[in-house]
Amino acid sequence: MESSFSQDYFELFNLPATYDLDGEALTRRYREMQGTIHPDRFVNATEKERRMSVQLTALLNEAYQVLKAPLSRAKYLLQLRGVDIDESTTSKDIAFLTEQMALRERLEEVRHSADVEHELMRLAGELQQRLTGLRQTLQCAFQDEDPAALERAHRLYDEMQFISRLNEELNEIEDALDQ
Amino acid sequence: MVLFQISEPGETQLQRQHHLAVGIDLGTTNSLVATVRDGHAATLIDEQGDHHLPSVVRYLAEEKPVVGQEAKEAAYHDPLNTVASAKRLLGRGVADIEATANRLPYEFSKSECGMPYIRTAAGDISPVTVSADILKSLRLRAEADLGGELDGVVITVPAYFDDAQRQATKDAARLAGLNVLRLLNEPTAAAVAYGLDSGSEGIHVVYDFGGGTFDVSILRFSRGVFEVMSTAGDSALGGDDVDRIIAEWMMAEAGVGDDIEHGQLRRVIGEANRAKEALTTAESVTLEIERSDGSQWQGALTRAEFEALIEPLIQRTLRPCRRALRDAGLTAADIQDVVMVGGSTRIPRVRKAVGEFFGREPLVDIDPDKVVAVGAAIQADILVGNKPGDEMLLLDVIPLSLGLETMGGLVEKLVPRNTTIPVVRAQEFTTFKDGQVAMSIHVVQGERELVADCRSLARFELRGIPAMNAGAARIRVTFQVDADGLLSVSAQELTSGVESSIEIKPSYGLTDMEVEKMLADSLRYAEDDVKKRRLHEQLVDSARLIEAVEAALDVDGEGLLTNKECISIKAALQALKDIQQGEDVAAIKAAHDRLERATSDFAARRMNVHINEALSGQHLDQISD
Repeated sequence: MESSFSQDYFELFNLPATYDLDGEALTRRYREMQGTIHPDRFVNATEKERRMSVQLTALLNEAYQVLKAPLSRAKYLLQLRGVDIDESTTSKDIAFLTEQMALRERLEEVRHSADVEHELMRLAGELQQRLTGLRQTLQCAFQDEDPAALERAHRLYDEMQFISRLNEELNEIEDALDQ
Repeated sequence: MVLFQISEPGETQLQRQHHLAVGIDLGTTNSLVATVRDGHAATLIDEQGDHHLPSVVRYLAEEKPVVGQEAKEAAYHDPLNTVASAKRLLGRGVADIEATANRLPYEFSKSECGMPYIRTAAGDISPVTVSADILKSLRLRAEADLGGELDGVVITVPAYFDDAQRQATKDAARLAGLNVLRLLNEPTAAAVAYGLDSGSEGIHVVYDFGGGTFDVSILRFSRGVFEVMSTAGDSALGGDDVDRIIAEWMMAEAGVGDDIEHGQLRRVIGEANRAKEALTTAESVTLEIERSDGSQWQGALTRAEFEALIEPLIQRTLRPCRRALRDAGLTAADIQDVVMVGGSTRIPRVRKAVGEFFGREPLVDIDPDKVVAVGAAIQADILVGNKPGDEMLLLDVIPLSLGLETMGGLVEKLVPRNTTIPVVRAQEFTTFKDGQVAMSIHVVQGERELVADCRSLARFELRGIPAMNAGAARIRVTFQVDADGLLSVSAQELTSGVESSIEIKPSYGLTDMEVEKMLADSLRYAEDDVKKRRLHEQLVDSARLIEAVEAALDVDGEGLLTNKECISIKAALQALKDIQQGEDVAAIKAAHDRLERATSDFAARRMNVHINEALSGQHLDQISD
């Protein structure tokens, strides 16, 4: 078991370590493995097997979640390639900082607009488009052999991370509407 | 001529024993028990031919509790000793229920553990005990019907139940002497019943509006795997609230105040319930109540008026539907079908509103009251091992985020809602003051940022942290949520390796010690004594282990063990079998533990093979050499 789970997540699913991941193959592998190690398969097994099954399935779930979502997959791939990701430091890129501020202002406008629901949907749509674009650019950066491309990928990840966080805040505003 | 018998490849030599397993729907208003017989799942009836057991228990001094219909009828003349809807109190604190307590016809006494106890002639009764008495009644029904002791049960819980509510349900099962194979979410159980029935692949919504809880789950069903994509709900919203709203309307119309006595309130609620059921088909219903001065009030409630009264409740169910869709990253157009579960979905207006929301006619093919128990029975049959080789698998999620309290009363989320279980997550924290040697850890569940707005699950202390400067200690807190959705927490200081002596004190529940004590207390009134019960539990446990080890040896013994290892496991196995003939609990336990230890490496190797097999798609015999 140690042998299987000391592998990185891509190896675990027997998939190449690329950003452009075959999502269907990932899900198929995940389900096959779940079918073998899930606690439901060990209800009548020994205590040791039951415990191992819970822990291994938890690891499998974690690996699947990380690889499935484009944002966490990007982060994981950067880390595999030796990039140190510190979420607490802010970017020094002026253009990106300016854009962040502009988007924050937009969010506040939405929060206080007359038709919150409508404005919310509009901004959410725009953010979704941005994310799709960023994913494509990021994919190119990951494929690029040039060492500088990794730094570019890191910057793109930061941007994706910021937009995703904004998206979450939009969701929270929407939740609050329902209260 | 003698012919050698050769078994089919893959078929084990061991003749598999049929195990008795049932699914139990422990409902707010009614409970059911179902089992799979000859490949068909069906609910079991009692001596009177009833499928439903009203979830009502009456407690009288010096008598055994009365469960079901008889208790339900007694509720009108003996309201204080008769407990209904105890499920709404499970895992809740006194403060939680105070908001609605003036509408609950009981008297509560506060307990040290923060749980509300109900004052009855038989003493103060916890909601866990009430649930245990209902479960016990269903257990007896099943054992009489199936002709033997149950090997295991699957008990359903609302998907939106938090950790305290799940733990309380499991405690109740333990008090009722049941071996819980799994706690299964109600909408998931319903999906199993429907999915296996129709075999339809795709994305399904289960809208489960029961007596006291509301859940909505979105599931993807593909090649035998049910994957819950998201779940949302309200664990304090159900048909009870519909009754209450009608009752309040009646009281307002009749000019009856809040000071109405308990028995009278029960009668008004009963009348409201009758009106609700009648309005499923009738356009109007006549209602009657007696005022405290003895005069009669009579009035009529039309379907349209009724629908207007309950519209706010229906809207409250649609909000979680919206959230579940969003969390799953879907729109209503992605949904293949909507399954209706729970008695409250009989209300025509509810069906219409749900149909409009999802843009399709909801499915009501299976009796909405029985579908959950039937799904649970199917799962129980598989888990207990009656269907080897069955590929069905349920991948469920945690309904509410889990987190820890950090400085300033803020919540740090460790496991976000809708994460697939089981899950293990760890986070590191540090000390706040120089020389700080202990740290208090507060576990909460919920979506809000402030601790005060979330549910408190438990508190514990990590002691013995070596004195260091503020910020130098590194404390790793690990959350593990198992396949029942139950949380366990551990903590460790990383620089010194100090493990926390964790005794989790549940905020609104029983500690293990308290459950033990309740078990002992309940046995004082039972025919068999504590010792006999312990022996019995140990024998059941050991029989299960023996079977597991024999099955493992049968499949992997030759491939994975050396001769020497095989001999030593077989010796431990035989030793347990021999000592099981006796009555010495401690000796059986010791032999049991020895067998567990003897098979520990074997278990790890088997796991490894399973994983490699899944990884490479290879078969066992190709790897084992």
